[in-house]
Amino acid sequence: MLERVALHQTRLRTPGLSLDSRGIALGSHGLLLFPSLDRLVAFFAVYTQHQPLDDWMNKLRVELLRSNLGGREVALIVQIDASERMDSMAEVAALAGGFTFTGGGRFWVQYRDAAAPYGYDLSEVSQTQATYQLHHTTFNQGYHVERTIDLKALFLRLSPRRDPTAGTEAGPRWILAEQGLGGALLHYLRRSDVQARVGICEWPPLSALEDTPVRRYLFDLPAYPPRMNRLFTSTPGLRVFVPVAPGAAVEVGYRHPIQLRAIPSFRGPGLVLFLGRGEAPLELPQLPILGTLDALVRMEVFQGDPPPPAVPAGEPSPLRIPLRLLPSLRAPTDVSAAWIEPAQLPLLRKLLYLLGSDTLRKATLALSDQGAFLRTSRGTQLLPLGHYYRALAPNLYVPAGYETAPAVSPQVLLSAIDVPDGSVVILRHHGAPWVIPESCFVSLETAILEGTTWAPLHATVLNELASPLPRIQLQIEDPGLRPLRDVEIEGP
Amino acid sequence: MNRELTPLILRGDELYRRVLSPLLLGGSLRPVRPLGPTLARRIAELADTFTCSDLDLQHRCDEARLRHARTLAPLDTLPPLSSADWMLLAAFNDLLQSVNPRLPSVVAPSRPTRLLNACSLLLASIPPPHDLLAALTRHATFARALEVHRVDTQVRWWTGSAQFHGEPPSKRLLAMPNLRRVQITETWVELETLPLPGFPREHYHEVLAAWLALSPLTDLATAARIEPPFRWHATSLGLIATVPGRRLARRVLGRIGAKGDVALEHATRELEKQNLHIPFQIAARFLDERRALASMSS
Repeated sequence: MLERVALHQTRLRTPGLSLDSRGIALGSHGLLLFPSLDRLVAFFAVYTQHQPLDDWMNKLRVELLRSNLGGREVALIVQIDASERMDSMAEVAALAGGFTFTGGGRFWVQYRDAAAPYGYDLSEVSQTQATYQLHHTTFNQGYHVERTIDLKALFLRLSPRRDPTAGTEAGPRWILAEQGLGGALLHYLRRSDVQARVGICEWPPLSALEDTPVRRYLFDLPAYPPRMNRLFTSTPGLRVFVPVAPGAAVEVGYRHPIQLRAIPSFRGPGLVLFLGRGEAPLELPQLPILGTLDALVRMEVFQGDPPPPAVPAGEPSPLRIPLRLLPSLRAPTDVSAAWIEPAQLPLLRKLLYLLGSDTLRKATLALSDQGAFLRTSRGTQLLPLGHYYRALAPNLYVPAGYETAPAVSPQVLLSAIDVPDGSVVILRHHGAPWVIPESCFVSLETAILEGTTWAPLHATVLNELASPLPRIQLQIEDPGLRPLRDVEIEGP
Repeated sequence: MNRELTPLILRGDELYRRVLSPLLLGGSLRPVRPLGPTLARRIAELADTFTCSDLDLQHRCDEARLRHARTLAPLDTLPPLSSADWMLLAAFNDLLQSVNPRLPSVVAPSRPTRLLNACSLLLASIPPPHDLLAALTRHATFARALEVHRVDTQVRWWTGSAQFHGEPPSKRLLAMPNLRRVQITETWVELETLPLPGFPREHYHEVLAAWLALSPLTDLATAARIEPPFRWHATSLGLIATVPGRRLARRVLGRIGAKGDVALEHATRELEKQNLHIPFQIAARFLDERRALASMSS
């Protein structure tokens, strides 16, 4: 039985219950009991409209309880430090159809209400085997914990509700475009002078029958003309999302029941895209690298010679000439390195399987965002891939079929380029030479093999499966009298 | 248990043990009494709740199906037999019974034709596989259907001879083999050539082709067969019209050999002759890809 706590009462019988500074009976935790999950969602929907969950997101847990009578209810247990916050939670819980208790450990009593401004206390503590024994003015019930519910997973499972007004106002948007549409949309936005950033997202294949991951373009649009609304929302393959939190966005035309901005787990660094039409949300653990549209549109390369640099009048022009690479008529011998562009790296991966052990041991590889530079020693096999280079000096490479002009010695060349010691210089047809630190080169055999997972197998099962199956022999038996008695050809 | 359902469950269990399990695990396949469309459909309605009376046998059959499927796709589980798969199994049973030498009698010589007509009706009501997994599941179940063969035994002795089709010869005829100069000749008869003289051979091949068309991967895997010759159907064309479907089809064709390739070319040319442009383009593209990949891998 519960009894009201009186003003200036100093002793309470309920274990874990004490009086706070205002004289209100308060335990270390609060427990909100809801009859079902949707009531819990309603509680969060109302509560997050007024207050964020920042302070106590890590201090709460949701448990599915089973009463002694077999009924299931949902409990939200939160660590509390002041009765002011408990008051607001109790008010919202009552609105959502829940009961509020306070306590800690096994015994919980009803939180204060208008009938008992200082709360309630037990008149007698009874022995119980239940995990939580809840005492209310209208009932006493024992509960066992059936399982714990992950709150973020619960929020992710909530389907956004249809709301035609959602997303009609101007503002920033995320646009998710299927792979085939990404390039076209990129050029369309660039032509329309819309400032945006774009990145590539990847998800695992949809089924075991697929080999390739699902790739989509993700556009970040701070703003765009309203005339594009119809195009974006009616084109199949484009999905427009309204950012509702730094790490969450809901599809246009839908509204999530919870104020996601109030929940810390939806504040990045990843992004959760909530889809409409009952589809599962798309999760990005980490936001992809986003580049501006200007950097990704097709570039026009100036064909002619660049204009000569201006020389200050009155000063003598220095007698220095740039280094050039001229085609050589000599046969390209001593090819000992290859530059493999990023587009050819998938092919390189396949060709690596064909290399002999000697080549794998002696070749060295440096990998950069511009491609891979592969060096082989004299007499070993070179891959039929990439642009070939020959060594002028141990650390100086020139494209095969070209020679340097003027014909200075490699040492002079290296000193002119002025690179630090322990660097490998790669001269190119166009542009400045590339310099790679020698330390970036690693043996090919140590660079290529990725870790392989393994799992134990039951040898007996494998042997059974591996055994050949016997042949199938048709054995004829007498079908008996009236063999077609079950066969009735139905009429039209 | 519902009294009305008991006979159906028993017939389904009999069909599973005597037809499906040998089809998956090998051994003696003993077709059950012909089922017909109505009974087959009623048995198929119990597909979701079916459990074989021999649980160990059912476990081994599931393993064998998974083993077939894993040769084509990295799957860890397969769904159980669907209603359509059960009807296809019943149709296969009736097809085998239609060539049973003991089926026709003096008073009812047309029993094979009647049974084949009923089998055609049943096949017409079976839906094609609705997605790749269904096609793969169906193939995993019926992949070895064309490996069924019958052993015909001819016994000769000094005064005569006797022929036995798919059943062991009488012991009486094998007695005193040296004195009677008994000679035994065994012939293996493939599924395509099961009908004996006097049976509706062409009708049998038509029904067998219709049965194969409902499992497009099995149809492609056995394209090298002589009878019935391979033809492109809506199911097989629908399969190779998608990228994952083409990949599965290429895997199932695997090392089908020159005969299979010739059969695919013939079937594609037939589409061209019939001015079926879109099906022809789908089939031609598939064969072009197959040729290109073969040249890369050779």
